[in-house]
Amino acid sequence: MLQYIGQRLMQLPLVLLGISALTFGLMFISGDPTAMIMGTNWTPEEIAQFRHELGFDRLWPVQYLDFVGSAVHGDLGDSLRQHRPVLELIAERLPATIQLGTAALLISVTLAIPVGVLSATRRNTIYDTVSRLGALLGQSLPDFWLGLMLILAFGVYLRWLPVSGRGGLTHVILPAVTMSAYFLARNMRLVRSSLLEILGQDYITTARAKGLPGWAVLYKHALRNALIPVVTIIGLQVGRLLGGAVIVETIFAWPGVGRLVFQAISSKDIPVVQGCVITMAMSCVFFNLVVDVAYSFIDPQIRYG
Amino acid sequence: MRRLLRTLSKTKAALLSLVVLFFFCIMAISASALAPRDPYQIALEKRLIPPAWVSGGTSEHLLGTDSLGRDILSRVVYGARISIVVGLSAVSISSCLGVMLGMVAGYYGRGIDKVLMRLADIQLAFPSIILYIAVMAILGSGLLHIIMVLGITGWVAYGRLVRGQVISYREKEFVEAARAMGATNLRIMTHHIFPNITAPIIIIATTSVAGNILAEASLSFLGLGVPPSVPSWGSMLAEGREYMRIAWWLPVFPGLAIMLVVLAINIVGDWLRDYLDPRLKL
Repeated sequence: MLQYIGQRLMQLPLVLLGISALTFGLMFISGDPTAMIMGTNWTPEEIAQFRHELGFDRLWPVQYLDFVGSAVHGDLGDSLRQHRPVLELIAERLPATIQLGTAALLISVTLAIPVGVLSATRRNTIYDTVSRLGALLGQSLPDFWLGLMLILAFGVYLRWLPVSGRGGLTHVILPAVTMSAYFLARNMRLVRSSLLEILGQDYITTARAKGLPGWAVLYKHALRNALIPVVTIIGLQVGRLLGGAVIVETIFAWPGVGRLVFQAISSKDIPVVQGCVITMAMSCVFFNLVVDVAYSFIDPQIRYG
Repeated sequence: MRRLLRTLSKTKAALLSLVVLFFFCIMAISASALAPRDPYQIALEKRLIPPAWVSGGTSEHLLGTDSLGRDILSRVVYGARISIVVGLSAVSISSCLGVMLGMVAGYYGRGIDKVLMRLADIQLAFPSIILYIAVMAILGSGLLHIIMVLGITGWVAYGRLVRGQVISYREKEFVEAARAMGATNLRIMTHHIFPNITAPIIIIATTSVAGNILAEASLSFLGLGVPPSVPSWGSMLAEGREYMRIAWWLPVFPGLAIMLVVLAINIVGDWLRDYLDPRLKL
């Protein structure tokens, strides 16, 4: 186990270096940002001076090494538009994204487990059919369309809930529901299929043969094992959650990292894009590692080596 | 084939989904014949007409008109072209690329395997939509750019799957036998291993089509997909968002079209998985 964790930790710098190179490379090939920032009413001398001040006139390997060196020390540069440190901008927006992501995950998990369990235990009944269809629908709904429909229904027509910005608890409902739809559907299907597989195993038959009541077989024996893959998948959903945040935060004007990165891309604010993408990618790498390691603790059958 | 058709006839949902997909494909292929009007024709005097069954609507424009007076039904019909072209083309590119790289990584192993799998790790660390947005922001909007971005970045799912499958097959007796008979590595990969691993590739490819259609719509919705004048379901939704307080029909119909196609593909994908890998059927 320790060897496995060590191996994964050894790979981490390589992956992080790859992420930084890819982010830097993408932004580098997008062309000279000074033209976009300064417009056309400047003399070539003034543009050259500006490029020099921002360090864009240096060779790209030098710019990259400078970027990595600063990032290691927690300096992700300054925003070209807002003239503030990128880290400060991200730190300012991160709580909003975490709040939204947590709310979406909570909604999806608290609903997916009971619905999935009921669907599996009442297999091939009308309840099962309806929940499976609902799950398929949830996986097929584009989140941006669902968001618009919720705004239309609960914001424009019924006027029950606020549709933009971050404020009280009511503000988080619509974006969190929009974001959770896909995960709710996916987790529900996973709980159902995982539980059905477990319920067909010999040790469950043995437990039933011993005379254990149905609820004890289900909750004490089957569900505990059935939830192992669900826990893993929930951990791995962090990446998609962060990606989904870009669209959901844009639709609901939610002041999070997702909206920040979209605005930065639109205005070619390179340091902010790099900072946000690296933060998001690092969060994914971190969560994947945690899930991978946690998996071996949750499921004693798994031994890495 | 007979078994395939027999199981299909028993699965009504999959059959219905195939009919829906067939309908959308026909719509995409013969959009110019099926669309009642020119989807690009601007008629400002007819702007924001509601659907025919709503008061103020007219049978001339069954699903109403947009902010420039363009016929929504015609734009939805033409939008199918973009979605289906992007979905299928990107899957073709990513499956070819992924299968090739996965085969090489799994068959030869060692350094090349390590490099390719680390590349996959790095790419998987990026939330895919962020990667798409970043690349599209650099390349600029355009149909070809979307196809290339989705096609090239989509290789990982195939690559990892094929690599795992090839590793499990490369030491099997029939591969050893082919090697002993003097078959080249290329022949072993293409004629002996590949035919055994097509089922999971087909399953991934089916669901990837749905993923690509959603990704194209997301990018177009964010203004990074096809140019706004081109009728695409995503860009129609983006426009609909601005006017939805006064014209609900603008975002509703293109969204319904996306949902129907993606739902149909997902149902067919589920059925294919059950058919090709009955062990997974629960």
